[in-house]
Amino acid sequence: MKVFLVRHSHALADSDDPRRLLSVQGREVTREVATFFRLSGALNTVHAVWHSPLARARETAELLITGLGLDVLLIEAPGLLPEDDPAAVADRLDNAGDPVMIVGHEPQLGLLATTLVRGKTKPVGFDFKKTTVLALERTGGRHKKSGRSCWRVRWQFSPELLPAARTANAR
Amino acid sequence: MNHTATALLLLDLQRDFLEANGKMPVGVETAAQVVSLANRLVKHAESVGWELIFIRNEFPRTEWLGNLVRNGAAIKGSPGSEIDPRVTIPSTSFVFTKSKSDAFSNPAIEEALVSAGIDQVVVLGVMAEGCVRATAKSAISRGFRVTIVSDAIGSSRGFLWRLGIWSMKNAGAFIQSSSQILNAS
Repeated sequence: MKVFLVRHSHALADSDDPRRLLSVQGREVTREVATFFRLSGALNTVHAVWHSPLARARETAELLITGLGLDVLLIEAPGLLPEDDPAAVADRLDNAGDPVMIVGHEPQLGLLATTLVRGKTKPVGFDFKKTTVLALERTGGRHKKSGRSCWRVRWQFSPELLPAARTANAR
Repeated sequence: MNHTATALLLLDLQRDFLEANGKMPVGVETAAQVVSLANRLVKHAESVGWELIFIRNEFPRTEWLGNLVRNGAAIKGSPGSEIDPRVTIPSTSFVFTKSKSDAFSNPAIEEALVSAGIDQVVVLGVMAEGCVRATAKSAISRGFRVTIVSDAIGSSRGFLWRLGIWSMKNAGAFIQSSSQILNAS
């Protein structure tokens, strides 16, 4: 069982407005990333996409699904806002049976990844740049303290490797 | 190729990346190929007078950002940070350490290249999309002619290997197979 954690792409003005959409550059990068993954096939097993209620995450998720050509469930999921405790999502992933993509925000994604891999949130071990994809896989073991499943990193994709992302993905 | 001004850069041929039970392995078959070609190219480099420069990671144990992504690979002082014993390291080689993807983050490496009159580097090792790419791009920006030995470059995933090679080519690196290099120089 794998989970693919994705930070939303570059958005319009840097504010707390939950309605702010992706910038033109953010859309361009997202489409390029989606095309790359469609050609590579590395995300073809995704069964469902969970995204936060914020527009920039939803739009990133929609563009990725479209670009990947996947016919999957798109779910606005609780517990994915920037300041949310990652525990609820970690619990939900424990019960997930099929590969899931989660499109969310920092700092919550870094905390979630750290929780899944290390079983605790501090010190934070992951820093998600925009449109970064981190693939984790459940190992079969359990974290001693939380009792949740252990996950390990399978791979990480940095969008700066792609041409549009190099010029547009300023944080 | 100009034999007197070339260095062979062997990046991160470490146990954690090449051994099957390493922390961040490229896979048994890829590792065997990278090791075998590295040894052939080392022998070739010696015969044509190239400098040999081995570079390996030594990541601080306290570097939380990064160590988790790498599954704790190549931490300073760990057995996994050692160069894979299958790799031949001639006594005339330089061996440098680094703690970042870009090998030139250790200024001693550029100093060694410049003082030896090197203007071309031939690069092999792991990972295509990570340290190899970062080092190749940095070398290009410093004015070195960079040749990537495509079949002696490893990665944990095929799509990341392709992305790394493509990215280096776009950045101005010359992509050649080991046989092209062995037969041409």
